[in-house]
Amino acid sequence: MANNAIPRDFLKNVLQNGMGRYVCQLQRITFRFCKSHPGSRHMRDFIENHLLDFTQKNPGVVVYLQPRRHRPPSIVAEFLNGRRESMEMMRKEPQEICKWAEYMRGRSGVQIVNMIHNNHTETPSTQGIWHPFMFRDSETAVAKFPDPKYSAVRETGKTATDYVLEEFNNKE
Amino acid sequence: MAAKTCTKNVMNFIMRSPKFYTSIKLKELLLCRQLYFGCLVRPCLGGSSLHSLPGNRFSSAVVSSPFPSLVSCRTKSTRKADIQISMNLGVCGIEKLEDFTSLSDKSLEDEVTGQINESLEQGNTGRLYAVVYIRGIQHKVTAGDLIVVKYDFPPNVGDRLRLEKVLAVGGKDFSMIGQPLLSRNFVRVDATVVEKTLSHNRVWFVYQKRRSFKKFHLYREIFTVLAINSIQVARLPEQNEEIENQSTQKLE
Repeated sequence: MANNAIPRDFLKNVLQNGMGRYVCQLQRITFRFCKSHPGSRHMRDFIENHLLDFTQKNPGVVVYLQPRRHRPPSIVAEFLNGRRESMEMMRKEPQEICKWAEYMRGRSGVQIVNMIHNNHTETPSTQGIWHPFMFRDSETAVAKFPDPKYSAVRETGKTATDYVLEEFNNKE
Repeated sequence: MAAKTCTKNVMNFIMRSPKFYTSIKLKELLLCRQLYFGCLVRPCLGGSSLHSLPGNRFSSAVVSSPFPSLVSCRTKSTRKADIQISMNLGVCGIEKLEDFTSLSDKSLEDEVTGQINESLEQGNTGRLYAVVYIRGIQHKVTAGDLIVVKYDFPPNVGDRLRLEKVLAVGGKDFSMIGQPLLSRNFVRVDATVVEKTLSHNRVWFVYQKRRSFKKFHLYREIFTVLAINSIQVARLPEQNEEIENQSTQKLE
């Protein structure tokens, strides 16, 4: 796929989160599973053994359980900014489901796209952005070219030609 | 990309051989400072964290290996730089690196520190900026910025960090540059972990023409987003104060 067809976006912070205190952006999480089908065996195991740990650690997150007959298990996460993400949990072991639930907790709810820059700043420069005339004398701006002052040959150290000439003169 | 796989292979080899592992780990434990940044040995975390997510291609080694604490998943150069800095930053070593430039002309030095102190007292510094070193990469930040730290980074969502490796600090009309670091007594950069996510699906495609050789991989990187809360600079010690302090220390 062409590179410009991939959606891209800048780095975002939802509602300036973390500038004062941090607010968990995950609001609701739904675990959907079947009570009888072997496909949601691991999900049932997770609900029996690990779900209470998750709820106790995250009191700010509302947890729903939704049994659906003969349907694959999945997680649905709803974020503070109104976005909703679902993820299939078929053939994923309880530990893996734990990790994906934790992943959802860490998300800010912004859609995942290609990041243009890996930093974001409102004030790119405090001392002013450098340009080639920054520390130059402003006299050059008014000068009329050709100017003998600016077209003069700059003094350098002893060149190779000077050295050779000197040697030649010494010999003579 | 090749460098990454190469390091991974090397680390796999080390992981498999227990002798190598113990020697390296002991060595690094001795050298390692209890900072998040630049640490090679990752603190042991609970089962449910982003580090060993199954989607991450670096994590397969983590899950399967008997020693889950030692992981390398960065480029070669980054790792090299990181090792060098963290070696230098042993617990006792950090003091040596924190230093201000001493100018040859002492009167000039006094004048400069006096001017900086004056602007700090009057609040004329403008918006402060700092250059911060995190995991082999330097970030130029001001308060309110967002930074992404790539690959696995131990702090969790909502954690407050103090970024201790500050390479430079500046204001409207002054900038201080460390050799290589600025002292922790004068500069303080605070940050909050705002988000831990995975990147979008990135394509790793290798193709050789006329050889029927093709590789197509999709992988996702781990991102940790830091929000910079504040940058603070304390008053610099002036010449007279320094002498007094030294004398009092000697007396003590």
